[in-house]
Amino acid sequence: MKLSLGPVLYNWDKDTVSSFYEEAIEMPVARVYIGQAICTQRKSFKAKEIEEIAHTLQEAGKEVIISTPALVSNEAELSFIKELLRLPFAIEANEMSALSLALKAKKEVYAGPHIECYNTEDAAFLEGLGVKGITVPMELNKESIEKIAAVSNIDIEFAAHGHLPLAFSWRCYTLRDQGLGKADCANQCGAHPEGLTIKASDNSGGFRINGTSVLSMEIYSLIEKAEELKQSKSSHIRIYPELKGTKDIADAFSDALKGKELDLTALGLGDTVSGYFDNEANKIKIDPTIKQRALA
Amino acid sequence: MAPAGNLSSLKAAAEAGADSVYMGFSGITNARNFEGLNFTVEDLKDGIEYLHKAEKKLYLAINTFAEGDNLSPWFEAVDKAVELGVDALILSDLAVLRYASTKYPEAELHLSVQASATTHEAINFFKEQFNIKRAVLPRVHTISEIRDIHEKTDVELEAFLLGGLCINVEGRCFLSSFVTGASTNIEGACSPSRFVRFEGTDNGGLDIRLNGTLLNSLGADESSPYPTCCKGRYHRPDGSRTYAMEEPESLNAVGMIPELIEAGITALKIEGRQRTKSYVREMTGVTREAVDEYYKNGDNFSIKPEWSEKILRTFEGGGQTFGAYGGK
Repeated sequence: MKLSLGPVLYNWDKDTVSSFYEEAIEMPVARVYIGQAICTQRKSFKAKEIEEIAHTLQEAGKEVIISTPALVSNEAELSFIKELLRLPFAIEANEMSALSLALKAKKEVYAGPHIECYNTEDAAFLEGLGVKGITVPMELNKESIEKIAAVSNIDIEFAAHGHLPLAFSWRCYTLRDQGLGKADCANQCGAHPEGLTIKASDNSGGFRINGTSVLSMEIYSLIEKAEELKQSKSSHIRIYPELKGTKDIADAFSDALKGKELDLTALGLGDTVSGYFDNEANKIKIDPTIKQRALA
Repeated sequence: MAPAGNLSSLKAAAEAGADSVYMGFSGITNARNFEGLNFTVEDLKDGIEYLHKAEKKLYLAINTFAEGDNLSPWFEAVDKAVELGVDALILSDLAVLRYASTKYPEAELHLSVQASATTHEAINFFKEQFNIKRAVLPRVHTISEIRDIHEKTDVELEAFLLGGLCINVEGRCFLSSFVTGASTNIEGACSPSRFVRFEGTDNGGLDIRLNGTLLNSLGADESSPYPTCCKGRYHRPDGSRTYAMEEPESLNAVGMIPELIEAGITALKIEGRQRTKSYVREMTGVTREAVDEYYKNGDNFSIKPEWSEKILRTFEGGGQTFGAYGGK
């Protein structure tokens, strides 16, 4: 099982991005996704910046894959994908426009977590198209991930740690928070390098709004599931970048996979959730028979 | 194009002037898998006979995603629908699209909104791979973006006109799934009712929870559509309370019928297979009148006050919006 570092989902300024990727070189991750999965209007992270950092990472021995936006709805956004396709790196397509364009351009292409690959035959179809790897949707449970991995001859990856990207909109939630629309974008989401947390009135849940995306408020983490991860037939697990502590997390996963005892308290994660992997809600435990009854 | 959760809604839609009606089989193969809703094989047979006699079309949605390795319920649904003679299948899962297009090359396939195809490149990919005839557009585009897509594809485009509004792109929204553990894409229901709790409060209001998470606290004089995470009311960091993602409002684009048709939309779709027969009748009737009015009066098209009244009355509380059609 290898570690991968997902694309930065937040709108960080150039210096933060640079220092993050300097540190990423030191992380025990085999693969680094770098790109723009959320919004093409983010200024500090355009194709030119992505290319520079990608070269540095590649020279440092990392496998580099360029991530494309999860939601593309107009010509300007398609042009951004085409710019990314011109870079001399493999592509992670996060929706079907990028997948199709990358295949036509004979690029090495990976299906990202925002492409709907839910079952063994979806994976076989994508493999048949020539896709080199698939990151399955984060809502798949362990059993389904493993069924897909068992029949696939390509890399299979799944999310293992981070505030998960759960939804994408045409609307910018950060601008909406200020009573503005997209025409008024001045990269306001840059003021929230960890997103903006919105909480239920009684603290019983919430989300992180982040530009045009919604992330989980809770940290999703499989850090305590090293044994299951080691036995997995999948090739990679993904860690999502955070403003602080990402290297510590990557080190911890690396150590755990080597069988080392972890000091989880020292990692300072607090309560984490792992519901998707466990086929449960990502919060309080529910009676599992409720779900079974519904699916019967 | 009108929704139907049962035969009587289907008939109401046809009587009110729908050109086509869409529905799903009971069970997990369709994205409106709510209790007591949807069609048995026998109902579908009757529905097809009824609509075909009236020279109208019936489209069947098989638009959830099969998880893991058990695709047989989806494949069997395709087989049954083709055998019964539906006019088109509305599909989303790549494997189901491949199965249907390979086994039944003559069958008319529509790409479900759940497939999340939002550009001409994506739509043309599905055309090349599976020969889809029509694509249902996710509710993420402005009118001019729809026009751009139409110019670069010969796939028919279908757009939502009325009803519930997904503010996040359809097919890839995991908010309900994260909170409940029940995937909307797999199971076919956002905010499944077994996780929803309404609790009266001391001030005469209502607390609404989804699997324990408080989505909203309504005051005595407030109402809300069916509770979903995206229409929840949350606290911002400064303590103020706000509908941070989307107001409790529904899509009403009747006023944009001319723009939608002129941008290249082939079919106008009414959301709401889970809604009542009277909702279907009212919404279909208004849409029929409005579309006829456009073809009769063209540039002089204007919304009649009685349409707006009827539409607002059928929305489950809350206001109305043009969604992305009105600009981003």
